[in-house]
Amino acid sequence: MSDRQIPTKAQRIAEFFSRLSAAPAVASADDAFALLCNTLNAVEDELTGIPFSPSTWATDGRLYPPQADREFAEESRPGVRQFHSVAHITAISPDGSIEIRDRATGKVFFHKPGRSE
Amino acid sequence: MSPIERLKAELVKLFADLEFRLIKPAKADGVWMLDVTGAPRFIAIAWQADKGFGVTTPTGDDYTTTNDEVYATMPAAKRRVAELIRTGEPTSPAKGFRLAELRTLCGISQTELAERLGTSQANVARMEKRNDILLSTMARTLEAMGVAVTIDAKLPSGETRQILV
Repeated sequence: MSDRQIPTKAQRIAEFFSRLSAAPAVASADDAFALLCNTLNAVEDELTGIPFSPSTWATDGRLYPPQADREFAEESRPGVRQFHSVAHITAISPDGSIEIRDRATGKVFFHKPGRSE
Repeated sequence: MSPIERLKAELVKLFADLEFRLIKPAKADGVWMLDVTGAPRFIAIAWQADKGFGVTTPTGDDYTTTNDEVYATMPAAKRRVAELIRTGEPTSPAKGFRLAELRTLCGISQTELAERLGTSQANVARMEKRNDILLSTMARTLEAMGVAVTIDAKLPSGETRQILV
């Protein structure tokens, strides 16, 4: 691996949001989930060089896409798949839209419409 | 009632003026979350069966699921959360860990660790309760968690030498 400095997590998140915004919109929850995972994995592959290794997710310093064990549902948002991380809630709607909001305040700081939105 | 539901009930008794939001995972073996708002800092708590409690005061600038601090038991998590509420301090990823807490941080259950070590879950549980442990056992256990182990000795001259374990 080269000795270049790995960008901070905040910088990588900014790049992730930038690429996710620029990607063509999708029309289903499955496609939106795949888009989110592929985009984040590509950013981490390119910018960190840390191998993709889900078994060491807690300590390797790499960012991983939402995991199945962190999914939850809310009656107020039927059909929406939601995943929690330490600071964020990621919501994926049946129409393919993606929303990432602050877990503490509920403030939405990323929204990508679905194809039909 | 699960341990995190008990934690919520006990915190509500202590801090009736705060808001506690408990969210159950979609899968029975998933990660529960408990959000504490109204304290000086937002506190995010995670709990999963066999993997203990994660406690973090997030800064919001990364997308991680790694908790700053982990606690193997409900009373330990309760003590720390109460302290965070009263003091307004942030959590610290630099805090020292007991073996069970480090295992929890690595996202590994006692059963999983036992399989990697070729022993039983009961043996892992006993080892984690010990106050003293052979260095070789500690090194083997940490390596089974995927943790690299080095022990450095700082000489009176200021030089550092690695101890082989």
